[in-house]
Amino acid sequence: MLDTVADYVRETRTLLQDNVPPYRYTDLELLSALNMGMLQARKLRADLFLGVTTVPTYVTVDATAVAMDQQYRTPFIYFMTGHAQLRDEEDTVDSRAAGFIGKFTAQLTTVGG
Amino acid sequence: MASLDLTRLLNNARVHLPGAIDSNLQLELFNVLNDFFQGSNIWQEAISFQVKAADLLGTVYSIENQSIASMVRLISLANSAALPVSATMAVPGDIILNTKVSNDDMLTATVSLTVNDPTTKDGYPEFPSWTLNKYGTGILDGLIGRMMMQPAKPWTNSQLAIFRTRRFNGVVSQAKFEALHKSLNNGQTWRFPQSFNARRGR
Repeated sequence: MLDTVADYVRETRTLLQDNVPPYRYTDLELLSALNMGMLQARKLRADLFLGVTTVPTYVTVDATAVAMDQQYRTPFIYFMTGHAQLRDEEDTVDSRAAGFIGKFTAQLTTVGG
Repeated sequence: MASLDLTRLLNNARVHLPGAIDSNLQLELFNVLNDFFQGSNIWQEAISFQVKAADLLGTVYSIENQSIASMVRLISLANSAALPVSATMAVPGDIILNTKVSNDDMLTATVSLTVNDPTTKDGYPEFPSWTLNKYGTGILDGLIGRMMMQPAKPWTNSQLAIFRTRRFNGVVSQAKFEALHKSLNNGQTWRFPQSFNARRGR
């Protein structure tokens, strides 16, 4: 299931292959990626935030529900993964990060993304 | 909770609009219903009000509809003998008679209505259920057309949007015609030739 902040971070760590502490990417870094994904989604798809005056932000990795339509939860995992991998690390390449962020954009704006 | 007809309408829309979310559908449904009712005058209500012979010409008679709706235009005004009375309603709800009445009387205004802000818990506007039953496919065309016009969405499709909107406009025209003739079969059969409908080309 993909409902809470902890779910998003867990799924992102799976794609990052960062499941075992000590983590390569901290919880705060992944939270920041989630929050930036929200801002980006607000720009691309205002309809996902109808009735919301401010874009939601999350501060802790816990059971807080992430307010997002079920159909559009998976793209955030791709954004968080891509955003984390933009960091200059030896184990990653920019094209992979760009691919994840591109996938996020495509899934929000096209049928086949 | 949405009615069965409304649920069917939204299910149909979901099938045609991959990725569309319900709050967006709800938003556009309100716009489509507003266009439909404003364009067709199909939703009407009769409202009676008292006039006095002593009232000055230019007196504003404020009327209110019972339905949870917004008033659009004055369709007709008649006195207690069912004879037409000349009047205007520049501001919805404010009727001004064009001539003074000679006796105290009870006038009946027939006004057309459109949807108002949603008042139900699930956020759907209130409107006569029979309109959805009768013009459901046309309203669906309007909803899909409006959704497909939205830019940069998975369901965006300008060509289909034009097609669907054209069909919706046809149903609005049909409803307007039926409202005018009170859905009387074999009544006035002449309609303005649709090939001369200038709005089509725009």
